[in-house]
Amino acid sequence: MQKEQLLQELKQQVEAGNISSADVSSLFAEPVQTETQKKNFSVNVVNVLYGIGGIVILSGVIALLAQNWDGLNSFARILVTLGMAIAVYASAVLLNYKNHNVLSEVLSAVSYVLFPLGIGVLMYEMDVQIESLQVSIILTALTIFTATSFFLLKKGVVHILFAVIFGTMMAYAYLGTVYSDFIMQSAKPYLYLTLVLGISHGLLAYVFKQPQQKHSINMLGKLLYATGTFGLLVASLSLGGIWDVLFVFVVVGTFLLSVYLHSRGMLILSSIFLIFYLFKITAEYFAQSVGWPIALILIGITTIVVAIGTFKVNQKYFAHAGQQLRS
Amino acid sequence: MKKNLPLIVALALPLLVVGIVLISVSVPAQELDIEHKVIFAVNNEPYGNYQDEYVYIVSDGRVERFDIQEFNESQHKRIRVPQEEPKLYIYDFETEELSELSSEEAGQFEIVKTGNISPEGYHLSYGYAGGSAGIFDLFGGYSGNYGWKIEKGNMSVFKELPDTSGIYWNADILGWVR
Repeated sequence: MQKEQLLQELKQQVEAGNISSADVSSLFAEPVQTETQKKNFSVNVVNVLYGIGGIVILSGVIALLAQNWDGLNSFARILVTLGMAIAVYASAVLLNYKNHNVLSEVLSAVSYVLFPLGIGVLMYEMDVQIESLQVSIILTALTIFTATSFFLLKKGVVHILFAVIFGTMMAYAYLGTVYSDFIMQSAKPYLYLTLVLGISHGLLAYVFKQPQQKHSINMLGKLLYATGTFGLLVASLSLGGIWDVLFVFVVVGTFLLSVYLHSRGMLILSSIFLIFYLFKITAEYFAQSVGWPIALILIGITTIVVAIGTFKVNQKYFAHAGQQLRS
Repeated sequence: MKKNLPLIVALALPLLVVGIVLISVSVPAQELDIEHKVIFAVNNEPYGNYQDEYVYIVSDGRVERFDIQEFNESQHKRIRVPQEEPKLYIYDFETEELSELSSEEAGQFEIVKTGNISPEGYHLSYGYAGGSAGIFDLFGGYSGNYGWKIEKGNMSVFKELPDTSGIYWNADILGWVR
């Protein structure tokens, strides 16, 4: 009788939408999860071995080139670098169609490292002077190539990771093409580009860290939140002038965004840069007037306050979110 | 469209920065209005312990060769055997032409103003501009060139010299001519 009552009550709660049938199942899913975890562990070991294999291939190519550069003729040099890049990429494509996705991604990563090297060697052997515009064009081609591979090869994270890397390098290369840096004696355009690239990485992270995306893409999103925050803060801290004031708004913004976007990396970087900022401002504006000993005491106190604040925010928002995810 | 907006903005922002820099560098260069030509000398080192046998100077509004050997002998200074003779050049900002001058040719021009600031008020300095891809030079290639950094107010542009094979870092601006 009691059993029937309990089941009836459970059924009513499910129908009312207070709990889902998945919640009920999850209560008894512990032994199955353990089996899955065991399987995941063995898969992860294999993936790590794939990764190590990829690194070994790269090291082999680089060692082969470094040791035998003078002994290799032009054709051999191009074959070892660009030829190898093409062959490895072709293998990655074949393995992708055979559903060996992780191995395919590892080989793609190897080819993406070899392609710039191979193109460089090809141009060197063809006696083509590599100037900033050529570098920009090569990086543009590599960005398009990797981004296209992302869509063609089952949206593997390696492709989009390299697309972001090549795209970021491309932006700096184009700026180098249009701006002659040494005589102008100003790093500001590069700092503004770093700032804007920080925002771009943040926006890309927002796109990648959506629930419908794969776990690996979500992880890339987390990484991009960190790189984006780093770029934004390092540039706005270095620009000086009016940015010494604007930095306060930027860092407050990243603190708020870290909570909104649940990005622990963003929170930690914001705290670190806030401490750097306090050092910088104290050194520039207050160290002379109050003296370094007092300034250091003030910096120390504010550093502790920032650390406590970060810890509290982390505990309140991130630990809670973690518990929610686990429950 | 709304779904892809963050992606579009992420890709457009860096391009926007590069575009703004391109415009800010190229537009003032087009608006540059320097009617006077500049006469300058390279390897022209009138000061220091190691001196050339002669240098070019401006005297009474004309470029003159000044023999410093006699001067230095009276001052008991060492005379360096010059590795390269001082050379004279004239640069036209309107046509962007660079020509080498002999001392006789240079002496025929009337110097209307000496120093680094042109009669139009442009501040001129000579130096090297790297055309590299910043820290991302993949294969060590770069395309730097010597030229003029021209400043007036907030404007700052770089004018590359057409042929700098005989010109080094030490261009000595002697004066401005019509």
